[in-house]
Amino acid sequence: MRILTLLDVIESVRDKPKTLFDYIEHTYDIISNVEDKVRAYITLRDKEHVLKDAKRVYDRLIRGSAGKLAGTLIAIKDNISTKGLRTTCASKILEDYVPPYDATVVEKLKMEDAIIIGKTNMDEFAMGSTTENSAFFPTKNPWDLSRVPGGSSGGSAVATAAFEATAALGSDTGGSIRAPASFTGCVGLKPTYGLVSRYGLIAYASSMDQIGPITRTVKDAALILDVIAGPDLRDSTSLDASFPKTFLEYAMEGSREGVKAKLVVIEEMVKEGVERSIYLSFVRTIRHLEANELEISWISKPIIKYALPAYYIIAMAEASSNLARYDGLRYGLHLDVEGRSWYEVFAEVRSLGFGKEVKRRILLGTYVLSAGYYQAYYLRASKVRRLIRDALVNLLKTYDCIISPTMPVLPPRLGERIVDPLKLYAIDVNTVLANLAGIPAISIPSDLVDGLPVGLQLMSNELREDLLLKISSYIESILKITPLIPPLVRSYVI
Amino acid sequence: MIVSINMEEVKKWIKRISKLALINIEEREEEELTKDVIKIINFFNKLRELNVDNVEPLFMTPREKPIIREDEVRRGLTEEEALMNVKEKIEGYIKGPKTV
Repeated sequence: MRILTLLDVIESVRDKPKTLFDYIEHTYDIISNVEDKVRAYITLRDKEHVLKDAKRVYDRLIRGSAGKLAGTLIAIKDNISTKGLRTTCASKILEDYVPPYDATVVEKLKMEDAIIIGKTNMDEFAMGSTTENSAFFPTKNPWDLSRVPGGSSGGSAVATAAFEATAALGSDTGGSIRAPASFTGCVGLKPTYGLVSRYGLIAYASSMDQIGPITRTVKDAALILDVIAGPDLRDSTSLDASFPKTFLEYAMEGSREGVKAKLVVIEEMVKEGVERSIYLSFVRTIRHLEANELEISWISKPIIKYALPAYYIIAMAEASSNLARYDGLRYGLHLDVEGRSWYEVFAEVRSLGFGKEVKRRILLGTYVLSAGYYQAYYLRASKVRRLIRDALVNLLKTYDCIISPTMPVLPPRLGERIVDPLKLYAIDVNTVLANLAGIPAISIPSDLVDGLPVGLQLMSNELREDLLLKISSYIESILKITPLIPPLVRSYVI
Repeated sequence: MIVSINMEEVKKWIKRISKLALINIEEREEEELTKDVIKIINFFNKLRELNVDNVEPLFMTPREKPIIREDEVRRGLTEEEALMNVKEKIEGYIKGPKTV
C-alpha cells in the first residue's frame, strides 16, 4: 500500500472508505517494526481504540459528511493538551497528568475527523534542540540511529519521517518544529505568532510559542494549517486574519504555476558557525533556484549576531515565570503535605520533578528578571528583540522571503551537543529569528548530505503565509526530493 | 553586576536565586551548575557590545486588536474535571501545606 502523504490518505479513503482500515493496520505494522528503534512516542494509543474512532469516521465517509482530514493518523507533541490522554511535557513533574480538556488545535483536528494516534516525545517542557532532554528516553533519528532527530519536537518529526503517523503537530519557541523537521527530512512550519491558538499548549515562553505542523510535503503542511489556524476567544494573542484563498490552494498554485520571487540571503546566517558541507549544499540549492527564475540577493545584517543571546535571555525569563505554577498540588508529581511548610513541599516537588536543563533555565530566568539585573539582561534583550524585528520586517518589504540553511550542522550524534549548553544553544542560531520577530518560517528538505537530510529555511513577513507556502511549494517542486523515505522504513513503504 | 565573573560570587547568587525559584540545589550539582551558569552569563554579556539607549523594548509582537470576549458567565470545567488530577482533596477542596 503506497500512501506517502496526507493528501494520499484523504484521496484514497474518499474513493474507497474501506482502505481506511488497511491504512491503520499498515501504520501500526510499521510502528511494531520501527518504534523500538526510534522511540518517537511517549503514549501510543491502542490500535483497538483507534479502530473504534476509525469506524465512526468510516460511517461519516459513507454518508458523505466526513471532514477535511477524514481518517488521517496524526501524532501530537506531548505538550499539547488532549482530553483524557496523558500529557507529560516529557517531564517527571507531569508524568501522570491527564488533561480534562482538548487544546483548541486538537479540537479542530477532531472536528475535521483526523484521528490522534499518540503523544510524542520531546525535550522536557520544549527546552532543547535534540530531544535528549526528555525525562524518559531520547528519540533517535531514523536516518541514522546514532544521531539525534533534533528537537524539541523530535518525536513528532520522527513519527512523521518514519511513517508512524502521516503528519504531526509540534510547537516552536526558537526552532522546535523546524530543527527536527530539517534533521529528519520533513517539512516543518512555524506560523506567524498568533495565527494558531495556543489554548491548551503548555507554556514555555509565551511571547514566542507557536503550534504548527510537521509533514512530508508543503501541501500537507498547508492543509493542516488551514484546519488549525484562526482566532480563538480563549487566546487573547490569537489573530483574526483572513486570506482570500486556502493555504492548500496557495501551495497548489506554487507547485503548478511556479512563482517569480525575490529571495534574500543574510550573510551572517550562512557563514559563521555553519559546517562546510551545509554551506556547500546551500550554495548548490541556491544555484538550482536561480536557474528557475528565482532572484537571489545577498546582504549583511550585523544585528543578527545578537539574536541568540537575546532569545535565550527572553526564553529563560518567560520560562521561569510560566513554570512557577508547578507545585504538585493541583496536578502532577505530589508529595505528602502533612505537617510540612509550603516552602519545603514546593521546593522538594520542583527539585525532584524538573530535569537539569529545566532547572538551569528557571534559575537563569529568575536571575535575568531579578532586581539589579533586569535592566542589564531582560530589558536589554527586549530592546535587541525590537532591533531584530525591525530589521527583518523592513527587509521583507523589499524581498519576499529570507532563505538560509535551517540548521548550521548535520544531525549531531547522541551525546555530542548535550554535554555543553552553549554548544546545544548554538545550533538554534538561524531558527530563533522568526520567533523573536513573530514572523512565519518553514523548513523544507533540500538535500541529502552523507545520507542525512538537510533543510532549507524560508521566512516571510508576518501573515504572509500565502507567499511563504506558494514559494516553498514551488521550491519543493524544483528540488523534487520530497517525500523523503528513510532507509529504515523503505521496505515497508514501497 | 557580574562582568568579571567570580566562582564564589556565582555560587552565592545561585543560593539566593534558587531560594526565589523554589529549587533545591544538591551539593553534587553545584560545581557543574556554577560552571555552566558562568558560561551562559558570559554568552549573555555579548549584548553589552550594543548601544540600545534609545530603543523601545519589544516584549510581544504588537497586536492591533487583541481578541477579547465579553465578561460573561460561561460553562467551564465541572468541579470533578477541574480536580481530577488532585491527589489530596477534602470535600471539593485541595489539601495544601501550611502557609502561615
